Amino acid sequence: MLQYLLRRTVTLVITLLGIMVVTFFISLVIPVDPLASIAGPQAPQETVERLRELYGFDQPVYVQFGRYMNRLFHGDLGTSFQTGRPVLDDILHYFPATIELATVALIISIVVGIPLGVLSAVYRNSAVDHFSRILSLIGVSMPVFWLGLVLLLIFYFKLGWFPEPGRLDIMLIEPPRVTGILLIDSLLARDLEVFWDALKHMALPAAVLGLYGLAGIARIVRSSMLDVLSAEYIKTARIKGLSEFLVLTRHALRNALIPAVTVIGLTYGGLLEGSVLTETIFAWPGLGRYLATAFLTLDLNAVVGGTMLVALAYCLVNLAVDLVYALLNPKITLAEE
Amino acid sequence: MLKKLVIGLTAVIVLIGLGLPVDADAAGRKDVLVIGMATSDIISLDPAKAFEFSGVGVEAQVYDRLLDFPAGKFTKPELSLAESYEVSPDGKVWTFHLRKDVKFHSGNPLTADDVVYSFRRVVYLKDQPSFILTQFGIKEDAIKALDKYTVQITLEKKYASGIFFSCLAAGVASIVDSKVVKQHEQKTDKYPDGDRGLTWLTRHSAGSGPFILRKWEKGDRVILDAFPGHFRNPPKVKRVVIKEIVEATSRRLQVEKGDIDIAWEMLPDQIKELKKNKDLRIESSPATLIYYVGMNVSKGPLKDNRVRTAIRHAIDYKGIIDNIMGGAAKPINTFIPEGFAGYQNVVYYKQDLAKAKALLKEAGFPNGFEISMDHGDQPPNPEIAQAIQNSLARVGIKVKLNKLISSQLWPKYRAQKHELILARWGPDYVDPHTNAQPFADYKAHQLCWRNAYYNDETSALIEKASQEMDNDKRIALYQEANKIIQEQGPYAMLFQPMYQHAVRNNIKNVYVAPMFDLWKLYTISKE
Repeated sequence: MLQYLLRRTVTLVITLLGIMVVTFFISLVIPVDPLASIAGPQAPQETVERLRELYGFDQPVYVQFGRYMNRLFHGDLGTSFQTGRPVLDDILHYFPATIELATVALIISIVVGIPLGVLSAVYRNSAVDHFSRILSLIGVSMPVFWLGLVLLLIFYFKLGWFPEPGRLDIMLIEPPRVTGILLIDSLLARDLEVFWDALKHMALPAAVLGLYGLAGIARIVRSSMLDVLSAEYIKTARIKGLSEFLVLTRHALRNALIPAVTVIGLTYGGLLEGSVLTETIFAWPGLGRYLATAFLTLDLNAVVGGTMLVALAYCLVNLAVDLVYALLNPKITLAEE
Repeated sequence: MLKKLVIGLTAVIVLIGLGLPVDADAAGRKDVLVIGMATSDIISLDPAKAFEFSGVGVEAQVYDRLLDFPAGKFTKPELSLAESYEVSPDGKVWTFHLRKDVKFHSGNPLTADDVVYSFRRVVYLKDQPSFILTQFGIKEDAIKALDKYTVQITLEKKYASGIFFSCLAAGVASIVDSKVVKQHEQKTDKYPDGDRGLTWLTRHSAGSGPFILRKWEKGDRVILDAFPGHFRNPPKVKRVVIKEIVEATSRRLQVEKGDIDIAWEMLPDQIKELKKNKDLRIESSPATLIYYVGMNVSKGPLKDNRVRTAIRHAIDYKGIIDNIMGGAAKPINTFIPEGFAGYQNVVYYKQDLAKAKALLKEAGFPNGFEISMDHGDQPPNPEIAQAIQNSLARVGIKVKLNKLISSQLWPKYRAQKHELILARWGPDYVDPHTNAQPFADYKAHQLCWRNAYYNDETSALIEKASQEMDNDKRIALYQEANKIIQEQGPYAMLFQPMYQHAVRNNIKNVYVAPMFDLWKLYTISKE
C-alpha cells in the first residue's frame, strides 16, 4: 500500500513537470500577445514596449523558460496581471469557494443519483425509470446557463424562496478565514446566521451543478445494476432466502458501484475546475471565472498556476478513486497494478 | 461508522435550519448603498496604475486631486485641493497653493510633500496612465515643494491650461498619503529599487477622498466606507458596496427585487421591461465612448478617399442604432463626444446607397471589391460587424469578418495590419484634447497613425491647440480639424452609446456621468 502511494506520488510529480513545460510552450505558440491585455486597447506603442521590457517578454525564449522553471521550482507561481497579487494567494482565495460548491453539488448528485439509478434498474421501464431518464436527459442536455437563469427567475425572483446570487448576504460579515469554505468557517466561528445564509445562497447553484452530475451517475448506476442483477451470485443470494433489500444493497449495489465511482471521480474533477457559467450567473467568486479571465487575457502566471492546480486535483481524485475500488472490492489489490 | 456520521451530520444541519430565522434581512441596510455592476476589469486601485473603467471609477471616490469636476458638470474642472494658482509669463511654471484644512483618512494633514511624492511616483512607475502627466514633459525633479502648502510644477514647454488642468483632475493625478505609502514600499522583481507602494496600493488605499477603500476582491465586491471628515463632500451613506454581477439579467432581477439599489448598464430590451416597474427609474447619460470603423489608408482601395467616403455613405447607421443598440445611442460625426466642451450635434453621413455607388464608380470600383474587417468578440461588436457587412454588400463591397479576442485584435491594430476594423475609443481624461490627438494627430502614434493616415494639416491644428491658452479658440481649432477628419479621414464614425442605469426610487441625487472618472458617489442618498 505504502509502496503503491509512493509510486503514484512519483508519477504525479512527473505529470506536473510535463504540464509545466507544455503550458509554457503552448503559451508561446498561440497567436496572442499577453501585453495586449496588460496594456489595453488605448495604450500607445511606446507604453506596450516599456511593459514588454518590464515583464521580461523581450528576453529570448530560453531565458524566459529558464526563469519560468526556476521560479516554479522555488514554489513561486508569480504574480497575476489581473489581480496584482501572487497567483498562489489568488488560488487560495478562489479555490475554496469552488471546492465548497463542487462538494455540495457532488453530494446532491450522489444522494439523488445513486438511489435513482438503483430504482430505475429494479423497476425497469416503470414510471420511476422514465422519470430518471427524463431527469438525466435534462441534466445533460439543458444548458447550465439557461437552467440557472430559470431557477433564479422562479425560486429567487417570483417565489422568493432563495436569496439573491452571491455567496453571502451583503450585510453579513464573513467569519474569520480558516479554510475559506464558508460552511466550515462559520461553524468554527459558531456563527450560525452566516452558516444558514451561506447554505441558502449555495442551494440554487449547487442544484444546477448537482443535476448535471447526477445525470451521469444515475445512468451508469442503472446500467451496471442491470448487469449485476442478472449475475449468478445474485440468484444464489435470492435462493438463499435473503431479503430483497439485502440482496440489492449488500450484493448488487456494492459491485455496481465500481464503475459509478469512476464517473463520480471524473465528475468531481470536472466540478473542481469551476464552472464558468454557473459562477457567472450566481455571482460566485470561484476558480472558474478566475481561470476563464486568465485564459482570455493570457494572464500567463495565473494560467500556469490554475492548470497545475486542476491537474493536481484530477490526479488526487483519480488516486482516491483507485483507493475506493479496493475498499469496495477486496479482490482488487493495489499491489498487483 | 460512516452511517452514523452521515446521520449525525444530517441531524445537525436540520436542527440548525429549524432553529434559525428564515431571513437575516434589512437591518442596517438603510445606510448601505448597493450597486450591481460588472467590475471584472479592475486590476488595481492604485491611482498610478488604474486605467480600467471601473478601476478609475472606484479610485476617484477614494482620492482627491488638485482640481476636480463638480458632480454633474463635465466641461471644466474646478479648484479642489488647490485653493489658488499662478503661472509664469512663459506658461511653463505653475505654482499651486494648497488648502490647509485637508486631512487624509489616516489623520495625517495633506501637504505639498504628499503632492510631490504622488506625482513623482507616477513618473517613476511609468505605468499605463502615467502619460497623462508625463505628456507635459514632467520629470521627477520638475515637481517641487516650495513650502508646506505650495507646490511648483515646471513643464517642458507651454501647454494650454485647459488641457493641463483636466489632466490634473484625472485619476492618475490623485494625491496619496506619502507617510502611509512609504511604510509599505517594497522591492519587487520589476522595481528592484522599490515599488513606491505599488503592490500595497493595488488593494489598499491611502487617500483623503469621500470614501475609504475597505476591501476589493476581484470577481466579488468592492466595499467603500464613508469618510465623514472629508473637507467638502462627506458622503450621504455610510457604506457603498459595489457587487460584481457580470450578467445583466441577474442585475435586473436583483434591482427589481430590491436586493441592489442601482443596476449598472442595463441593456435596451431590459429597459423596456424595467420602465414598467413603478419602484424604480432609469437614469441615463451619453457615454463618452465612440464606436467607429477604422480604415487602413495604406491598404488597396482604402487609399482613395472616394472609397472611404462611399463606405461612410453605405453604412446603415440608423439600423445599427435602432436594432442593435435598441435606440440607446446617437449618431456622431465628431471626435468630441457629447458631454465634453466643443461637442457639435451635426451629422454629415446617413445611409445613401446611390451616392456610395456613384463614388465607388468614380474611384474605379463599379463592381465593388473584397476586403476584411476585424472586430471584437464581445457584444455588440459581432452584431454591428454583421450589420456593416450587410450594408457594404449592397454597394458591392464584400466584407470578410474576422472575430478576434482583444489580445489578438489590439496588437494587430497597433501593427497597422488590419484593413477595416470595428473599434471604440474612450477618452483618457476629461478634455476634448484626449480625443482630438489620437483621432487627428498621427504624430501621437495613436488611432490616426494606426490607420496610416498621415495628415500634416490636422496634426498641426492639434499641436497649435495644445498650446492655446484661450479655451474658446482652442476648441475652434479642434472643430476645424474634425471637419477635415470627417470629410477625408480614415474613420466612419458610427455612434455614441448611452449609459442606462436602473435606480430604485428611494435612491436620490444620482448624477450619471458620461465616464467613470466623473463618477461621484458622495452625492447619493438613500431614504
